[in-house]
Amino acid sequence: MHAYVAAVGDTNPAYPASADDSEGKIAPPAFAAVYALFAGSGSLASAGIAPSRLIHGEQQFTWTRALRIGETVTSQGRVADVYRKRNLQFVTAEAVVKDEAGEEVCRSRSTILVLPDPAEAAAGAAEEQA
Amino acid sequence: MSSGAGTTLKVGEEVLDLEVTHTREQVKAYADASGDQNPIHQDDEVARAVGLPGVIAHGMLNYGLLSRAVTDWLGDPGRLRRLSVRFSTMVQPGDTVTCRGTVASVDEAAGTAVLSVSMQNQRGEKVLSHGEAEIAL
Repeated sequence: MHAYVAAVGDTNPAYPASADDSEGKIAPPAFAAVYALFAGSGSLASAGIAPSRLIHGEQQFTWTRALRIGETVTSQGRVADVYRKRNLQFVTAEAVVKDEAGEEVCRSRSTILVLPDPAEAAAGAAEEQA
Repeated sequence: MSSGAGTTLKVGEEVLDLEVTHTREQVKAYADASGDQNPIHQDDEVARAVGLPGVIAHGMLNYGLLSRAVTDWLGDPGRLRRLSVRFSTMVQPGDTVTCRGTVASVDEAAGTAVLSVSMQNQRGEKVLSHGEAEIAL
């Protein structure tokens, strides 16, 4: 987590400044990108969609409380909606993050543009030519 | 500009004050820290092969910077309840981004306020648009 804090240049004393600095420290809210987001994109990967075809369109995190260093959380992702707009394919992915007591701590909602599968697009173009 | 800590907020008041110039080192550091090792953020050739002008910063790095701008202003990061954005323009190393915000509404009874927030680049293009941050008063 201190590497994340350093990467975004955050010096808030509430966050760990080094690997040893954990006493009483909490995670930055946007650290949810690490513990919540992959559950949503994981749902897409398990549906056979490669990460290189995904473009992040919108993101919302809702936090119930701050996470303390050392807590274990579980993130459950799901594909909430699939729709087409202006001939583009969109997916809404959601994730709910719960603490060890089963209480919700964070919720994620992502809108993702899914680019066409290059192999399928090439096959489609070949068919049209034939 | 007031601090977000312990002051009475007025609708329309300007908040947030953060300017960051992106570097390849920062994008690499974010990739390592977040686990998002998609090569379009680190390898110019891969990025160009999928039609990008070169490597681009992670959208979630910019989300993290906007979140930092809000919590810098709040002081206590636990007061940030919700942050939503639309990713509108890509950011490349060398670009300078600025976070801006105004107080959109205050609900004294509920003890919350909503900030209208955004990030723009040095050309004035919105990098993060349609941004809303809900905070505890």
